[in-house]
This record gives sequence, structure tokens and C-alpha cells, in this order.
Amino acid sequence: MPGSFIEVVVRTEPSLFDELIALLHAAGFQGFWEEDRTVRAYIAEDLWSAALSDSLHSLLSSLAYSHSLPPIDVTIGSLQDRNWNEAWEATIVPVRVTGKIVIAPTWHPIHPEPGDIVLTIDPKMSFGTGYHETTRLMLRLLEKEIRTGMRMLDVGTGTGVLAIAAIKLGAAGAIGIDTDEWSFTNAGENIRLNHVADRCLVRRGDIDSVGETGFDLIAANIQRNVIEPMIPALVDRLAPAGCLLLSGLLLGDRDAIAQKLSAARLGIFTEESENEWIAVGARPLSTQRTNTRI
Amino acid sequence: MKKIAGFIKLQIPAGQANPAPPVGPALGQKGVNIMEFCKQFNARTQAQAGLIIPVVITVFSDKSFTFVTKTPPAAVLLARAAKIEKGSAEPNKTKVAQVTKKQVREIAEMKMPDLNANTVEAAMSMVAGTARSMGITVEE
Repeated sequence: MPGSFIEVVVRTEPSLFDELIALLHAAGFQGFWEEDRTVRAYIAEDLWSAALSDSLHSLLSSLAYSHSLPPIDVTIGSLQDRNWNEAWEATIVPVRVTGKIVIAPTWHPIHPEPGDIVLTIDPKMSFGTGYHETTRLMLRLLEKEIRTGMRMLDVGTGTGVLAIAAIKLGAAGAIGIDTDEWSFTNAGENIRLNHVADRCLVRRGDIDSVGETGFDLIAANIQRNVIEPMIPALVDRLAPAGCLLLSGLLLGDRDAIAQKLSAARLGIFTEESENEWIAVGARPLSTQRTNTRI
Repeated sequence: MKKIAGFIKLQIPAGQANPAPPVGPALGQKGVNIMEFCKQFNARTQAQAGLIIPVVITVFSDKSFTFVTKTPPAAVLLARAAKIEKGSAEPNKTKVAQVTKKQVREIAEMKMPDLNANTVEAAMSMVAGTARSMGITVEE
């Protein structure tokens, strides 16, 4: 599973926090947590080195000296990455996402109504539980657009929820991809929990790792600045009359994404929103008979 | 009105939050949905990619949360502008880098929403003060 991190705990005057963080960030530390008189700084263990350790001590000495302070107290330790989401996971209950789709974790008893499609999802640290607007929006669009026998690609699959739903809604096959190791492992677990492993698989990688083409439906629930540069690669893998479903988009992202789609000769034909979030469905303009709003 | 259970203060890269530390342990210990925070933070800060952003997360007793992002600290923006990895050991005597007045103005303009300054000139004066404390000179 995911690796370890070096945790550097610095105890000093809060008035120095911003300068300290600026210097640590410039030195390569990637994230900071401020509490009272403590700054915790983190860097992946494989980026840590003796030279960086020396640089850290030198940096702290300089900072203390320049502000006429006594030596700054620092502790360096290792932190193993783990499922930090466990406390939240314990609180989740089944969520009804559409008239017939319900998402539930394994540990919560559920009594489905006739015709319900239950997606069993134990999320760990992956995205896609039905608790977020964008997952619900994507499932609503997926339910409308998926047809029996379709082939589906889910980019940034997270828990695998969209790929699993596509299979349970009738797709003949689905591939989920994710660059994140937690998601890759977790999507595989959820695929097995839902007994769809014969038609649904997950790979670790980005869109360039997908050699297959001609998908009837491609879904990507990520964020605008990640999706936009990917659009040409998505279009390359889409069937001539295929459907692209996109979310992770704020309402304010709509026009920008519509322009990018238009540049790739796709037009938005359907969209749904909830609170500040939006999901859109697009198809090649050549397949749309009616005027398309972009 | 929901009861506040606590606050979490982080500085993390804009548009790139993920459940690794510090986000995972900081939010996880309060039972907050880490992935939902990452989704919202990344969507709202994607235009500032490449910068480190301070964020204050308010956690409520029902584990729900809200957050506000602030502009990057002046020290972070100065370090980036001056391309330095280290402040001066003796900022009064030894200068380690230089920034232009134009760069100070750009930083001041970005910082205006979070600074107690009525004019850009006043904000520039604050930014220049931070530069001095880091051993960075401002080119006239």
C-alpha cells in the first residue's frame, strides 16, 4: 500500500510560521499543519535525504538567529500512510442516489426495494461514496445514458462506483483507471464485492495507459484543470456516436469546459446540477441533429 | 445552529490536495470525510496551481465541515519570486536575494484581501518588511 512520509515537527513562535513554511516549502516539503505553537511539515520518505536533513537544521538555525531566538526545537519522525478515513467511514449509512440506485457499505444492513440496484462500496480513502454531489450527478446521467451491451471507461475511478454501476445497469464491460494506488486497490476490492469482476476491471494508470478505443461511454469525475487537457485523448477513445460524461466541475467551470469540448467537436446535450456542482454529457457534434447549446 | 467541534489549519498545494499527510491525519482524527474535502478544495483552488494555500477548516459536531482559503503567505510568494531555498542568517547584514519593486507590487496586490491595508502602497510596505526579515532586498 502507499508509502511512508517524513514528519518534521517544529515548535516555535507562531509569528514565524509563515516564514518557516515558505522556507520549508522551497526546500521541498509538500504540506503543513499548524497547531498552537507547532508546525508539522511533510515530505515523502523517498524524497528525504541526509543533505535535506542538513539543510533543514541549517535553515532552522538561521531562522532562530535572524530573529534573536534560542535554538528552535525540532523532531523528525516517520509516518506510515494508512486509511485516515476510518473514523468517517464508520459514520456512513446507505445513500439512495436515484430512484433505483442505492450505495451501501458492507457493514450496514440494507433492505432494498424491488427493482433497486445496490452498489456495495467500502470506500477507504477513495472518492465515490454517493455522499458527494458529483457522484450523485454522474450516476443520474449514467442511468439515463447507459444501454445494454455498451462498453464503458471510467477515468479517475476512485472507489470504482461508476464502472460498477455501469455493469449493473447493463453495460457489457467496463474499465476503471486511476493513477492513485489507494483507488486502484480499493476499486478492485469493490468490484469483487459486487461480483462484477468478469465484466469490470481496474488498472493503475492515466488515460495514456488505455490502449482500447471505441468506448460507447466514457466517464470522468475529476476536476476541470485535470479534465481539460485530457479531452483530446478521451475523444480518441470514444466511439463515433459515443457519450462523454464529465463532472468534478463547479457551476463556474461550465462555459470553459463547453469551449474545450467544442474545440474537440463535441457538444453538451445534457447536464445536471446540485448545489455548486455540475455534470455534463457531451457527444460528437456530427451525431447531434438538433441545435446544441455550448 | 451547528456546534463547532474544532478548527484545522493547513497550508497545502492549490488544486492538488490528496489524503496523504497532512490532510489525512489532520482531518481523519476529527472524523471528516477527507475525500470530499479534497474534491472541494481542488475544484476551488485549481486556478492557483503551483502555489501553497493556507486553508482553515471548521469542523462541526456532526462531522460536516466548511473551509476558507486565504492568499499564499507573503513569505512563500517572496521565496518563489526570489528563487531562494533559504532565508538569511543575518538579514540585517547578509542579503541572500533580490526582488524587484514590480514583484513586490504583484505580491501586495495578491495579498490585499488578507492584509490590513487600505492601499496597495501600504500592502507593499508590509511585503517589503517581510522581505527584509528574510534577507531579501527590494530593487528600487
